[in-house]
Amino acid sequence: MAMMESHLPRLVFVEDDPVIRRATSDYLTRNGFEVIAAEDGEAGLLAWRESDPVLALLDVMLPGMDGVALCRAIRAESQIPVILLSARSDPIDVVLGLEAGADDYVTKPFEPAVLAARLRAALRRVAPSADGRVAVEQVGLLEVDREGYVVTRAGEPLALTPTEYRLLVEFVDNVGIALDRATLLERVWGYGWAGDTRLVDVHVQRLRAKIEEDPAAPELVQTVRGVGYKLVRPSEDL
Amino acid sequence: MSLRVRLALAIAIISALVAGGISLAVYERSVSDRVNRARDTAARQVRTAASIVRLRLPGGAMVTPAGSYVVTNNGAVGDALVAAGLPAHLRVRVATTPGRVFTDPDLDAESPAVYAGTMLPSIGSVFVRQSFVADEQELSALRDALIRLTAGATVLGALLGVLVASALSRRLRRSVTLARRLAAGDLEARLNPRGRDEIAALGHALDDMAEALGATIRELDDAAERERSFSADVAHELRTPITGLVAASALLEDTPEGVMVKERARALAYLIEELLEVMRLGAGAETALAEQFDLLRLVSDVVRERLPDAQLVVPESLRIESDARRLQRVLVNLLDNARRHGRAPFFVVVDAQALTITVRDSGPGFGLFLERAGERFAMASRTRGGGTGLGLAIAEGQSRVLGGELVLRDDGGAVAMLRLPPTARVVVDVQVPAGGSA
Repeated sequence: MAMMESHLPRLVFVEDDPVIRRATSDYLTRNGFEVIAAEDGEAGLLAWRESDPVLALLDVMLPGMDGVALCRAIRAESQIPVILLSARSDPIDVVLGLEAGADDYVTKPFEPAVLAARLRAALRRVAPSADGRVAVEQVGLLEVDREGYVVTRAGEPLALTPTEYRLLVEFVDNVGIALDRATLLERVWGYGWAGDTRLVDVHVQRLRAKIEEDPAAPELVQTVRGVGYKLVRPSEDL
Repeated sequence: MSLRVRLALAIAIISALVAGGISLAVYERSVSDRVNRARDTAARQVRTAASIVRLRLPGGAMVTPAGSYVVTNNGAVGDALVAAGLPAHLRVRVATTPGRVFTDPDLDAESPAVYAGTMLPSIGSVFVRQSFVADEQELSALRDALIRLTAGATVLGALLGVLVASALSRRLRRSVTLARRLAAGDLEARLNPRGRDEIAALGHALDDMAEALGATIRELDDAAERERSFSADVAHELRTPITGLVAASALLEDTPEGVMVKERARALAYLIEELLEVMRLGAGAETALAEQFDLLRLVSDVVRERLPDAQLVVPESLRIESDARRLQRVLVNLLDNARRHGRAPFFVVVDAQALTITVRDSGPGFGLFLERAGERFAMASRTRGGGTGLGLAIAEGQSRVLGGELVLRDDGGAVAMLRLPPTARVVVDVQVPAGGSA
């Protein structure tokens, strides 16, 4: 974010339907966002590279390169929040999208106001939380610096998305305590009971892939069957 | 009486009648043969005896041949055995018709025999006796053999009857089984009968019927499936323009006209989502997640959000294993329904023992709606003013996906009770954090 012309959060919005694209862009522009709109995946990728946005909002069903592929391409280079727009009756799309690195999804038809709220929630996760707790927390080889918004593993910095970071901080704040999916959904994403618990599962998998020695046999973030997950401090002799 | 027993009995009776009849005929023929032979023998003997008697000895003395009995004007001489058994009417017939030989069997006597006699004019009557005891013994043996034969034939007939009837009955039973399987919905069931008799014809007819039935049902299924996928496609295709409409209407100022358009666009979007949900539930394509959560936290959060006036009657805490999202959906719909159609005071009661959540209002109740509540689309079509009218159908469908049931009744207001399945009960207590912040 070197060349900021405005102080508004800039987002790339890729949507093929002209009415949805135009109306949603207008609504978001009126409500405090700077919107770079694109009509297909290729144009979206180009717009993302050129405009350096803080967030990407992608329709899943796009002609050519679809939203999931675009999400994967963005995630390969950047940790910005990616929100997908999807039809609720395509649950496979949702899982594929989340596994491709999306932070959240909003189903069509959506209320523009609800969409704006979800975008703001995703951006809030980017902001470092200084709430008076210990700034630097050590769990095994992992070091979480809340003030510097940096996570290192054995001294090596890890590239976490804001959502992954928020999720990890939630675990670090509750070491040894099982957190159920509803709690994580509420604290990390800001959802109530209607949230999709698959968000939690997919993000825990992604977090494990980054912080665990062997993601297939996790030692830090462990599954508590039937309940959820908990962060375990490895014993010294391990 | 089953077909098998009836057929066996009939064949046994026929066997008995036929074997018995033949035996009787054989026996009677045997008896008359033997009697005739005995008569012939007796007649021959009496002629021999008569010719001896007629010869006379010199001096006029009469010879009485062994085994014969001679009656003259001067008295009777000869075999006492013959004299004792001689039938009276034989004696009369011999006396009245000189020169002819008469025979007369007396088989009923203690010692059965055939008697023969003839009259020699001016000498007297000569009688002999041919014993029938040996014949009688042989006939008795024959009788026993024939009775055994008849009995054997009857038993064999009965066995044969059971065998034949079993085969028939087994084939008929297969038809019955086929009909039952068809009735139970197994449309692929067929008999494929062998043979060309009536039972095989019945089997072929049943197979044809099953074929026709299966084809009709498949056609109906296909039609229903086409209609379902058509509806789903339509609803799906509606999404893009509706999303555009909702997004575009959000740009309108909050003038009275703007508010009207916004509200209608939102209602339309909501209706389409609910229709799609009802369709997914109807297609049985939904599966529930199973995870543990605090039911009381969910209930109090949702009640606070949708119906804050409601009075909560809940236990201390209750962790369950279910699908929180679906449970939230059911509860939201029940609370919205109570808010729209019921009247305060509202109650939400959680029973930890029975695993039920009850939403009760003090309004007019479900009324007529209850009578048709079992029909899923009756539920959907009945709108109690406001809302899409699909809310209860969705609540009912989601309850079923959760493995539970939704019970609706009127009791001083509308009472809707969600009963969770026993599997939702969490037995082992797990350490969890206190309630959420929101």
